[in-house]
Amino acid sequence: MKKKGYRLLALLMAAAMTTLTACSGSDTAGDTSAADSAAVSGETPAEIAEGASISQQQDVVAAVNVDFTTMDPMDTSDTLSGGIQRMIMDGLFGFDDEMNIYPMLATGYEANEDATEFTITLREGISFTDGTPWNADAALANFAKWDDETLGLKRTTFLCNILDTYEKVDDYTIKINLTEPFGAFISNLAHPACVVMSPKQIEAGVEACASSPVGTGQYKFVEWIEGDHLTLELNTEWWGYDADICGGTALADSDAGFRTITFRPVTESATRVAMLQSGDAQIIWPTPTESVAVLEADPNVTSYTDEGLVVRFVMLNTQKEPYTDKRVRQAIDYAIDKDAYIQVVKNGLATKADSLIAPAVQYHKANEIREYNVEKAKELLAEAGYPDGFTTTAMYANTSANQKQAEFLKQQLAEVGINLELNGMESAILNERIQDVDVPGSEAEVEFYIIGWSPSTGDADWGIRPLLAIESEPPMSYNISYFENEELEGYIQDGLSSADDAIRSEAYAKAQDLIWDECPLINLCVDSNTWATANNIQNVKLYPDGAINMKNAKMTN
Amino acid sequence: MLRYTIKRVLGMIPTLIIVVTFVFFFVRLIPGDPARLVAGEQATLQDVEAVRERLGLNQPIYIQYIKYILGLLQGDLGTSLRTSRPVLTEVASRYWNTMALTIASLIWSTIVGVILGVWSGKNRGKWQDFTGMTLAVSGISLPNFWIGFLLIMLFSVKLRWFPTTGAGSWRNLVLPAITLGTSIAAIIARFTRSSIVEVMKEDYIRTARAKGLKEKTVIWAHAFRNSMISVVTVVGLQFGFLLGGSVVTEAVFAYPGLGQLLIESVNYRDYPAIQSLILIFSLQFIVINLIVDILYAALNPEIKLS
Repeated sequence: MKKKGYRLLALLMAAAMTTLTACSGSDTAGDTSAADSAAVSGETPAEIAEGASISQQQDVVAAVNVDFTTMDPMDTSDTLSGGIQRMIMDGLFGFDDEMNIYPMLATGYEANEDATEFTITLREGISFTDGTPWNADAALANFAKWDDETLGLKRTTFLCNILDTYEKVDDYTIKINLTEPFGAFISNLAHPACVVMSPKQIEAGVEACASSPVGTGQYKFVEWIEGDHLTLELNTEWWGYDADICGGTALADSDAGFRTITFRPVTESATRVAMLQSGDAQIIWPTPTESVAVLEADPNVTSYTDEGLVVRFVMLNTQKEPYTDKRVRQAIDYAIDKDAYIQVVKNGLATKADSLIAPAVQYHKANEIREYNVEKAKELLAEAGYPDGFTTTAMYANTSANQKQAEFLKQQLAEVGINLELNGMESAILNERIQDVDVPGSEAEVEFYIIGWSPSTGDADWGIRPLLAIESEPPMSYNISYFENEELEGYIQDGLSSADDAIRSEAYAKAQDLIWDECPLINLCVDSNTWATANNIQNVKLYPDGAINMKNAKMTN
Repeated sequence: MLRYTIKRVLGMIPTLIIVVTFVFFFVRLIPGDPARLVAGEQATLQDVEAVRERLGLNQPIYIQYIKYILGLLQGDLGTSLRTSRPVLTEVASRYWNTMALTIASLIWSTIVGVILGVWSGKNRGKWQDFTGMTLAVSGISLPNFWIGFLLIMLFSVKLRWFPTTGAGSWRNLVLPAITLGTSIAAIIARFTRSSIVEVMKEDYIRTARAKGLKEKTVIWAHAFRNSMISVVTVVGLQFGFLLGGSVVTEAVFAYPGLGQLLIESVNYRDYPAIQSLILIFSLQFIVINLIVDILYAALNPEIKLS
């Protein structure tokens, strides 16, 4: 009897533990609903309120989702590291908030008609944070590094194949000759890989560039403890604060910036959210889509979303049956309900894609979206000789987000009789089976491939050529659709062989029309960028490419 | 004992040679091209080839092996393919973080686990036993990530007593150590309990009681010491596992330890980093085994080191 009583006591204790836990969960929920009215979301960051900026005396912490890989811009292939580098180093050209190109360390350029010769004038009165003056010699030292294939840096082919000669015209003018016409040259120079490093650091070697970058930027590099944090310190002497050097209007308010910014890699999304809520971090990005609602309800936090550059799509191998037939490809497009896709897969944080490049990309042209229409899809399949559908295999990297996408697509395509078999695999293995194969498209294993792409140059060329040009078929690049279309090749060349806006715009518009009609890839959506800050932090934004933009960021009382 | 220790240390050498060789070739059998992974998602074939050459991955495998072994002999663990930094630098700071977290977790979990185990064991079948074992089963059953988030919500977000993430001060250690140690405390409690229950049946316990010794002395001086052999084994094993880093706890608290590094290295097929980490883990296990064996002899002189 006594024994039974103790057993009961033990059970009661266990029950009490469970209840306590449940209470702590419901507490959070209680806070969430109580604070609903204070939610702010998707707004443009407000202007500084009455309280004066106290930013430049403040240390802030920003939590990010992955660790940094290197601080050498030409050796960087991830957006996060590139974004931090843009804070330390300026480029000859840069992007404004909407990814429009504008001159930074250059004041302008002239190009010849066939886009093979560019004369760039440099801004005067600027120094690197190590005291080295910015001039033609410093610019040429950077060109020499970008052109040096022997360094084996990850972005080696970004410029080295097209750079022919580069010379100093005078102290603040340089002339670049290219090996072939390249209309997107200035866009490439605006890319974060082409931010400018101090010549002293270049001379010190690639390891110095990778571990302690020195530039002309708004922030100075302090330290990087791998896996733990990376710290930057404000460069109060930054030329961007000086309206005279900037040519009239300063790039940032004189009180913008933080004394130091510490970036912490926090892979676990829920922990990033907790850091912001606890005050351990003032800025987090990206916000996990499942936590956006929680953050919107927190009165101490402001959550933001904005359209990004990443377009999600399915690439269909156009050299393999049944995708050789345009009608089958279009049928798949009609068979997928993009609105449902955005709600189910993206928690509503995406927009429908009307081209293979996002609206923020230069020379984007909107096309008429094929609205969800099962009947039309079945009709097209029947016309193509597949009235009962067919079985096909989807290949994709098996992240949980991709798995969700694949399962959604499987359900949708089942409606029109297409049996989509799912074959998700680890990305390294996927690369080996899809990108490292050197066979004609008809012999390639891939049929249906789920992928996302963003042209980091912000230019249509990098959004189209690597994906659909004949030269880009695996293993060279990413034409996993094995799409071969001479007309498209012509438009791509037209776009490349001129620096003239009107010519390029027309070429890429025709290219996008053709791609839309041919449908070698099925556009699913344009991802939104999400970020959140403490309420007293203002003007933190993300560039459409997902890199952080804190030029005018400040903290108020 | 000295002779035994020297013999065991020398015996480590062939084991380590086998581990080094096996791991070197084995990691290269895993599908996936590190050059492409390092070059990044949008890399062209030319980029990938340039990266392959810089990383030395285009050299014949036996040359790579010889270079690796020669490097090891000079204390050079190689250069990380992922970050282009020396592996030793990457591992060193994380190693001490992992060591600090391991020691903090083990100290509290051993103390709590042993006390709970002895308390349950000596009161076998009574309410103390049920309570202790209910707690132990709960500790084993609750997943790490869940405990971690619960602690963050309570102590970081609500009470703001401890930081959510990071490393470097004792305050950073508290929550991850509680998270990591909970299941270990529970395991130790269960082992201690069974051990105490067994030992309490022994003749010498009856003799001790017959001598009129106090119950406290009987438990702690006689029963406890003898039951420690199995506990030392468990603690030793857990110590080895924890030194390998805890992927889940490190991820939840963004704690820069070895577990996260190993996962990142495997994802990138960062051969030098994987090889070095596995080498370190193996070395640790061998050393811990040795220490456990020596402790056995110290605890029970009947066990001879030979």
